[in-house]
Amino acid sequence: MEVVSTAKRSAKKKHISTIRRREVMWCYIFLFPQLVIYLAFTLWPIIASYYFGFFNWNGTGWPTHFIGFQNFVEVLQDSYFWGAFKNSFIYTIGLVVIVVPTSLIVAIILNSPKLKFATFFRSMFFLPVVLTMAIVGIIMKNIFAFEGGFLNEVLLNIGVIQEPINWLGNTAFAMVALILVGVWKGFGIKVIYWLAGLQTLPKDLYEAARVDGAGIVQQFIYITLPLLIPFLVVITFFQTVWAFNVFDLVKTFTNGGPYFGTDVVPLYIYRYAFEIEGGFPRMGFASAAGIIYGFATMIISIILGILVRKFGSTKTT
Amino acid sequence: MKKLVAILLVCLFLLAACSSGASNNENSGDEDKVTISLFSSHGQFNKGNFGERMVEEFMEANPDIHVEISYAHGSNYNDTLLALASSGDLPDVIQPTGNFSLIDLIENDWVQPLDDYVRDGFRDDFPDSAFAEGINIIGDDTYTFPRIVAKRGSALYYHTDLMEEAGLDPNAPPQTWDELLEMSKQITENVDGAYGFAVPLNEDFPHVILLAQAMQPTLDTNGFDHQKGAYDLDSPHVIEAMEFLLKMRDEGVIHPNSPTQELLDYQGLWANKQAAFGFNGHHFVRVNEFELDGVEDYNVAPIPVLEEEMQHSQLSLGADFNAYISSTTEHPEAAGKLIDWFSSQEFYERQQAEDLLLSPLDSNLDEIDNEQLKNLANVFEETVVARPVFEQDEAAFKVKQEEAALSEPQKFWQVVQGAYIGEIDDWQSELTKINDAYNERFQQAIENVQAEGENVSQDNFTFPDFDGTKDYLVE
Repeated sequence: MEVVSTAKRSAKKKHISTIRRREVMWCYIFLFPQLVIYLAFTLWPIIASYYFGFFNWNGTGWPTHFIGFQNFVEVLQDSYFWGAFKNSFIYTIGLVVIVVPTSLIVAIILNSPKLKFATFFRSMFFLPVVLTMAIVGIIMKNIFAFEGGFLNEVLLNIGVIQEPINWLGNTAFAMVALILVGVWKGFGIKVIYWLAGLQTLPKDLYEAARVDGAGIVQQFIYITLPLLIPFLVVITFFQTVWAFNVFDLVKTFTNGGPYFGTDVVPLYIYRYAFEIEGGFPRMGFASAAGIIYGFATMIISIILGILVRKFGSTKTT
Repeated sequence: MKKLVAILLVCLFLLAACSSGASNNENSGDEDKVTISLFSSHGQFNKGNFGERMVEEFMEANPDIHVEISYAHGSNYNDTLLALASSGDLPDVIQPTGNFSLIDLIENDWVQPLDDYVRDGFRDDFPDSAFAEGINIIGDDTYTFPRIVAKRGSALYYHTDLMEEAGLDPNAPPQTWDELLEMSKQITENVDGAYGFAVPLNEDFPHVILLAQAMQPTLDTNGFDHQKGAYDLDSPHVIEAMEFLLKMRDEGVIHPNSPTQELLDYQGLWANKQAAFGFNGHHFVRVNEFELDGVEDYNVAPIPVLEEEMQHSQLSLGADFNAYISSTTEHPEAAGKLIDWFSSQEFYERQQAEDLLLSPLDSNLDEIDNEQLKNLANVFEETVVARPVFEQDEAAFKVKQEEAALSEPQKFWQVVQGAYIGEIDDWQSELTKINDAYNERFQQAIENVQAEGENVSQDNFTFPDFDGTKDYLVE
């Protein structure tokens, strides 16, 4: 009797093991296409750019003219690289400082059960997210134009300014304009992230706080904010990485101008890799710039990643 | 496991089906029919334009050849061509931008001589000056041929209706800087919504050099002086031209959107009559007609000069380049037939009449119907001078190639933009700084080529007997 039951157990175990193997096999089958795409279009270009960075190479054929660290030294000595780096940093800080807190405030308002037409407002805030960045850049160029630009016309008509502002013809104003457009473009998605976070908060905590006499401000400071810290870190992380890699908006909106006022590193790299003026591109140099910038982005990502890990696992009870 | 094998087999079959489908398409129809690809950087080959119509006529006349046209503009073209070349998929016929010189194309093995595939006496159909060593031929080998008139440059484009509205004589465009300033003032003051002048300051456009050339005619638009054999971006004449531009700015006659304008924005702004005067190149008559909805009431004149007795002078290569047969084509004969069509008398005549591009054949230049194009031809006749072609010397050309591969200093137009928007106070020092940097880079390129064993020096680029007012080749 016992032998029969052991055999049954063994058969069942074998059956389960077969099912698990099949499941694992299917996992690999489904992963395979993605893995191939990842290897071909992500990992290989990264590895290749490290290799190309050591060559004087114009992008045609296979690089043969090895020049050691010359490209890297040249990038590090180029004041325009550091200018672009500074601009990338200013843009990123500008976006994070504006978008992260304001999108939280808007999300809290949109999350209120008392708000009518909440879905409509959410859609309105989300609309810019789905617009093509290149189109946004071109339209914004007209909106921010000095002569006949929509923004100047509005500001003049409502009396905020007496003289039109040359938004895109002045380095400081151009960066402000770029940040404002960046904020507008990415705001909606951050609101959605915050809304997702807000909807996970336990309602009983708020009820208990109200019973204890806590007001709206106190509830926000002592319950909402601490509970949202993991979301804050994640949203800041996404916003930082996204802003640090901005390219399409700058390319179409200001093209890095005027006079390098909004030049950012991805655009700097693009100029050397693709914009050919009076010769072939400098792919090796562009690769070196990309690697250096990649390291900088990686360091920032690691710091933010550590914060995500630290605060993301914080017990919030 | 069997299922896995079955799935993989299905995938393989699908892939095979896709690839065989593609090759079937290629060979569909008449077995003798060949398909060649033409990749052009010229707007005339954009969908629905003159080039496409001409290719359709070519296919009607040659039913055994099918031509697939693709077009990309400027840097998009350059990127795509590089990508195609890198992957070994060069189109059969290419019409590159000016960024790719003949030597570049040959060194990278992208093109081949077309002599074996075109009509006999191909070169005889053109004026002698149409071909130049290093530009479109190497010895007896012809690689490409002229597309439009070789002696071309820039001109002043002006709106006659805006001049009239401002109380100015539309038949008397500004000839001097002072007149340009005064007329611009009148237009800015008297015409609602219009400024006197506009410049695309966010683009590598040589407006300052164009102004300086009347005083320093040996200077090309890159700031290289062919008499001195060196860059001269901080010459007193360039500085004077720069000061004039800033004076125009201070007088408030330049359209305030100019600092952010790239060439296409600028062209649109000018076409929308937001500025009365502007400098532009040979292609602008065509652009006005076909790409800017037929701009009306405008005309063309020489670039204004500092003093009345001066004559604007601008440099050009005596020769021009057009289409090339790629080195990898499997159908060079068909490509040759297409090139025969592109280089025919009929094609050039119709290109001038229907697409408003000046013909490279002297005989066609007497038959221009379009008023602006006619005036443009006269402006070029008066002001354009063929410069010395140092490219004829292979070692000298190598130097220019080497120079392009070295790190580029800040560009001249960027200093102009910086000075214009007030970001650079001491712009004269900045000009000297970039001029020194360009000359250092040039010297470095010479040294690098010398190190390869080539006998080359700055002398190869110095032409003391060239004064910029007469064709060097003629002399």
